[in-house]
Order: sequence, then C-alpha cells, then structure tokens
Amino acid sequence: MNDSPQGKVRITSENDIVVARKTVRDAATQLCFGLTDVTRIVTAASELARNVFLYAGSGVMRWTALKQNSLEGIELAFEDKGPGIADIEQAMQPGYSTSRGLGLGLAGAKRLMDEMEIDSQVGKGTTVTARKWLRR
Amino acid sequence: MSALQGAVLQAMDKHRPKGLLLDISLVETLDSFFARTVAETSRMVSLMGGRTVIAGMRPSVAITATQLGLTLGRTMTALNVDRALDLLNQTPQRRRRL
Repeated sequence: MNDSPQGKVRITSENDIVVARKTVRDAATQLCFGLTDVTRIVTAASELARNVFLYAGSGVMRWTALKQNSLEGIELAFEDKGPGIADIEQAMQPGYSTSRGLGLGLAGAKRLMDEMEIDSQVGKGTTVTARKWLRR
Repeated sequence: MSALQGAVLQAMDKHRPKGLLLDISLVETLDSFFARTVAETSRMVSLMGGRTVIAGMRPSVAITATQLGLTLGRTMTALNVDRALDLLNQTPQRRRRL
C-alpha cells in the first residue's frame, strides 16, 4: 500500500480550500472516476475542508488511492487539532450548525461519499475519513 | 458579506436593473458555502426590488447539489443565459414578502 498514489494539502487559509478541491479533482479524475462521482467527491472535500478551516482554523487533508482485491477507490482524511465535536450524532443532523453555515457539511458529505467516519475528542481535534469506491 | 455581494448591490443601486443574472455554466463545484452566498445575494437583490436568475447549472452539479440537500431560496433558475434573459424580461414582477 506504500506505493499507492497519495497526496497532502495543508489547510490554513480560505484559498487552501480551493487548492484542496483542485488536488482532489485531479486525483479522482486520474483514478478514472466519472464526472458525476468526481463532482460528488470534490464537493464533499470542499465541505470537509471548509469545516477544518471554519472550526479549527487549520489542518491537513490527505488523499490516498485505495486498492482492495478488485475494489478501487479514493480515501480522503481531514485532520485538525481544533475544539473537537462534543456530540457527533447531533453534528450529523442535517441543518445542525454551530457556525453561519447551512448545517449541511457533515451530513451532506456523508451522503456524497460511500463511507465516512468521524473520530473526535473535545479539546484535542477531529479526524474525518471518507471513502468513495469506483463502480465498474 | 462577500466582495461579490457588495459589487452586485452597488450595481443594483447605480444601474437600476430588473435583476441579477448569475451564469454558473463554468462552475464545477457548488458547495453549501457557495449556495449560501447565492441565496443570500438573491435575498438582498429581492429586498432592493430585483430578481435573481442563475443560469446554466451543469448536470453533475445539479445531481450533487440535490444529494447534498442544497437549496437556493427563491432564486429562479434557467437552462442557459438566453432563457434567463427571457425570464427576466417576461415574468411580471410579483409582490413578494420576505
């Protein structure tokens, strides 16, 4: 798995969200995702990158190409050392927002991807990992 | 308020147009932040007496926006810029409450 394609974008400014989007677009396109899936993946990345910037101020996005038996896909991981999420279930409710957002970020990103996990500790930070598999 | 919103409202005041037309045919990613900006701008334009039409949303963007649960408030939509102009020219202005 060490030589599978991967990349990393530091998110410290609004512009880095655009960089993260571009990076994910290029990666997903390279991995042969169709246009609609590329759009889904990039949009999910945009939501999650904005969460990092909005709630933690800074963080890192990592993408990795996945290969499990005959399955291929992409994994996106967003890691920050922000305030953490006290109630993940509540944060996943559509419409729930502690900022000025639409409250669609987490729940919306999960719908756009195939799998998503949130690992968060209050006061320590949050890691959101999401995967999308190629349909053949 | 974003720079775009400021510029739009200044132009509304200066040129007194019927409304605002946003051509998003080149937009490849429409996230909730962008949708909020469009919906907000549309409300501001509406308060000033204008209408907003967004034109040319790509199929992949429309699919993704629906799955994400995005709404654009009362913003009107059109298939392309020509249709959007027709809409702005033809639709009688209805009284609306915010």
